[in-house]
Amino acid sequence: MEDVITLSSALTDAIEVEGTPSGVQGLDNLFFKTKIQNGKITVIPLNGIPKFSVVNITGANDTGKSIIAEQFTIKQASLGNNTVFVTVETPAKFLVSSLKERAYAMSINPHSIENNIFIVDAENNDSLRENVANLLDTLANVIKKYKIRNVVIDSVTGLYEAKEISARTIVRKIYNFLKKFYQTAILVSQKRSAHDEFSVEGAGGYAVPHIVDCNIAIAKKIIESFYDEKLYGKPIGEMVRLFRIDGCRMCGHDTSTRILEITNTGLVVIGKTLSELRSALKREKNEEADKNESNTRIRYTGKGR
Amino acid sequence: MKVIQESDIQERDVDFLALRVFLKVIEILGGPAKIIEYRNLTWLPSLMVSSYAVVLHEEMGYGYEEIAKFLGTTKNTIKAMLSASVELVKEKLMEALEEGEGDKVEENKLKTHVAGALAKLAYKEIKEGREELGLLSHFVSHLSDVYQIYWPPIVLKKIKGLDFPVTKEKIYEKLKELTIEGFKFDEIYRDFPDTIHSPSSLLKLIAEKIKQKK
Ligand SMILES: Nc1ncnc2c1ncn2[C@@H]1O[C@H](COP(=O)(O)OP(=O)(O)OP(=O)(O)O)[C@@H](O)[C@H]1O
Ligand SMILES: [Mg+2]
Repeated sequence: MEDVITLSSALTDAIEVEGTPSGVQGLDNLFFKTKIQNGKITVIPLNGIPKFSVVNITGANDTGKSIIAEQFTIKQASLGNNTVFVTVETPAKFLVSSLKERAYAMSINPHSIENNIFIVDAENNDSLRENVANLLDTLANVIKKYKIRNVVIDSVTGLYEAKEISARTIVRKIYNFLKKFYQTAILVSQKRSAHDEFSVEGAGGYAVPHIVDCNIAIAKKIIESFYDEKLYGKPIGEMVRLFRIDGCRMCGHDTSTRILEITNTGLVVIGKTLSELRSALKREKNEEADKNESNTRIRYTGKGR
Repeated sequence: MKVIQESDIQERDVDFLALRVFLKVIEILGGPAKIIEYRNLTWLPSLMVSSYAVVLHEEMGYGYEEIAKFLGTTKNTIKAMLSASVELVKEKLMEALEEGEGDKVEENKLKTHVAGALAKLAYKEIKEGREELGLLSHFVSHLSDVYQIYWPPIVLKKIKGLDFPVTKEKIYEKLKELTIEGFKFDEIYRDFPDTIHSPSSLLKLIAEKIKQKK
């Protein structure tokens, strides 16, 4: 029976997942694949986001989504992988200067990547923004003409905003398109509601997360208690950003919640997990307690003299 | 960084495509004269709506509600149009047209799902390259003046009435007397595929053969 394949042949025939660098420090080692070698399961990091996957980055405003999208674009371009950036919210000329600044921050000369980045300005073109068929026809044309490997859309929310009903249809069309053209893609989607901060279900209802391959959620957290102050090392009232990979059907991935930092040069860095912070805090407390205890002892002995 | 320019931006012309579908529907119904003869001119508005609905749905991915809003009709109408079975209507249509002759026709109202099925059928025909022949001929003869290539309109005129897809023998029957750019049709058609899907693919085949021969 030819239709039935054995598990072992399925395992050998399955396309090996490969990673491709995201340009975001601390992110690439969070994706991995498992392999059975000599009867033991070994975990092999992808050193990047899974190639040919469609990754959705979701979060409220100012969480760093666009910065990640830009870092990915620059990194990929620097590797010679032509990347098209569909800008839906920011006019092309602002995006260009932002990409240049970001490139300098990443120690990449913007001139060296000039010919590898292509910008589709949907902000400035109603027919592209309001009509996904036109956008995809244009992308198909650009992909073929310029040998594009990656597509970034910032943001898909802007493509279905006025017509919530068809958010699902629109995202599905985009997804199928990206698959057909073997693109690695970053889709940014905005979360508008303040409720349930840390979930991938954004403004478009359940449209995006269930369709794409990988979801990354970013949330803002306001420091509200002394405990938070200690844990995050920031004063009450300030904001920290939290990051989590919220599912990826292409490969294994880290599932912890981590700190996302934006450096003073404007780059996103993925940092420690919250449990790492907690145990560091505990250790600190224990040390302090130890110190206090010995202090008391010293004092006590002193008094006894 | 290259900002993609106007020339690389593709825009689908929904309006024009809807018009092409509409014309194809009329062709399927037997042409304008036939429609007048059957006193079925009242069908035209709902055929226009269904043609547009199919295009919005297929090309733009619009949902029922969006289409209804766009075309100023109800969601249920659109739903009936777009979920109509083409096969069912293909059989019934002939009946409807045949029994339509004579006086009865006056009340011969077009059912919504029939309009939808016709538009769906026409859309499919166009997507497969079987454009309404009148429209195609019009463009071809216009372009043949521009490019000073005169055989395509002649070919189209001669194959009028053929029902595509068609066997190459049938094509040969119609075109055997032709000489195209100095080559007899006999020499041109020999390695054509057995079935030819549309008038435009026929024109393409001929053009390619001539190019080879030259
Ligand atoms: N050079 C920089 N130095 C420090 N912080 C910066 C720099 N550039 C940007 N930021 C910070 O990054 C944040 C913006 O991130 P980004 O534009 O990626 O947000 P976003 O998630 O895309 O938001 P939106 O949904 O509004 O588009 C700002 O809050 C800003 O404080
Ligand atoms: Mg943004």
